[in-house]
Amino acid sequence: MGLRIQLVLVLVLSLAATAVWAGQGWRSVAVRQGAVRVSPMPFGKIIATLGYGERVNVLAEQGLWFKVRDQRQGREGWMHSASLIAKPITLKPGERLGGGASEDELALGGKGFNAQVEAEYKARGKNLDYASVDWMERIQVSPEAMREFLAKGGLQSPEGGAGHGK
Amino acid sequence: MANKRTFLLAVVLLCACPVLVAGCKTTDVIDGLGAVQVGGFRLSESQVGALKKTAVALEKAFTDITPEQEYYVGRAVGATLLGKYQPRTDPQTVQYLNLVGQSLARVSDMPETYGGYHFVLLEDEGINAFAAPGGLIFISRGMLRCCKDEDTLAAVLAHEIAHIQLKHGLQAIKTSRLTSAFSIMATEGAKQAGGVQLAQLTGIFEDSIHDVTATLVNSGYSRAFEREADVAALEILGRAGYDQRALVGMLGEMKQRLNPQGLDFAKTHPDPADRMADLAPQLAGVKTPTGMALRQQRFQRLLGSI
Repeated sequence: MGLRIQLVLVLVLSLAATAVWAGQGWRSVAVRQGAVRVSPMPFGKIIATLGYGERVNVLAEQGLWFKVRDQRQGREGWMHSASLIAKPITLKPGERLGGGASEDELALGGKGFNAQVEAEYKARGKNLDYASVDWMERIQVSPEAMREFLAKGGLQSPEGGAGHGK
Repeated sequence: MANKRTFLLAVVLLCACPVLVAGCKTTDVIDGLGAVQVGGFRLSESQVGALKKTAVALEKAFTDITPEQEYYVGRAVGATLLGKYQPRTDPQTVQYLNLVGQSLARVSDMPETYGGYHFVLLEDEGINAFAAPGGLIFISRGMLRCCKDEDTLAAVLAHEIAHIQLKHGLQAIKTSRLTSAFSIMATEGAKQAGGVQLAQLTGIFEDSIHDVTATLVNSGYSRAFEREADVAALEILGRAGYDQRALVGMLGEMKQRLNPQGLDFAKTHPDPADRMADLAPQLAGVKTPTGMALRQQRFQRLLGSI
């Protein structure tokens, strides 16, 4: 095979690989409870909640919002782009990961500052109140309470957001 | 000839990059190449070495702090603050504070974080407010006293949400610590951190938490970061339907109350007058939003006695 043909082949292969990547249009959920909403609005009705590391296909974009389809169950809705990242998220072995990650990815996940490091830090630390942090993390406001709060305070309409989602 | 080789190297890297982004390690791809024979050329060992180096650099840049790691940093910063100050736990205060906070966080450019936004009032007379990375937000009773209504309270919380959105807390961590952490993570391979590595990582974690809390509690952010957070706070307040001028109102009140020698906001934040001057041009033409009186009433009813 001539050098020129070989070069062309390599180039075509590289472009093909790039095209596959660019055309994938998937994102990983980068938050523990990623809300999938019926509309691209901050207080839009939540139709599904996706876990950390689950993958979605991006179908459309509108401002800071992505219309997505989740890869596991095929549900469609809108997610805020800040809750998604364009790289695979891997978890520790034993943790559930949406979208079917390879064993290798699973094994490589959850490294760095993690629960194991926190436990070690807690054992070493003085005057650390993790019980209060756990209590704080359990604080939730329900969609109903939020809706009432906004309406009674003359803030945004329940489905929308003043000037948002442009 | 040399040019062709350089071109081929670039092509191999181009091929490898999408694979890396799609989840495989470029170094594995290159290791897999073995005795490299590309386009009729045999790459020398040093050339393969150079390829590997580039791939490793790519991977390093890729190994940013993940949202999960940011969450653990935030929890530790929160545990430190809550070890120092008592939180107010009566359900009415907790619910109201979190409704105001959520109404702002949801319209911010980062409406969700790994562990979510949570807001708490601290039993502390100093004028303080802290944002731990990842979404834990703390406001002192002293700071609450600077707030005459819900819109002013919203201004304080919006400013703290902005610090989280802009990742100011994480930026307080010295880069050298993260470089060390990443190199330990790289040597860790596919297995879980062993004893020595865990101890090393925990040491780095400890130092990183110290960097963040020392900045929040003692040294404060730069005026540039504070300005950035103020500007983002204005945007958040506007989107939520709150009065953007409440931020300036709060700064004015703080200027009155702050003891310049104090160990609270006086020490960690730029002079409120400077911040007010920075904000003035942004507020020209801002109109009074609707519903302020309604919000003032419920603020008085729910937090007026604290």
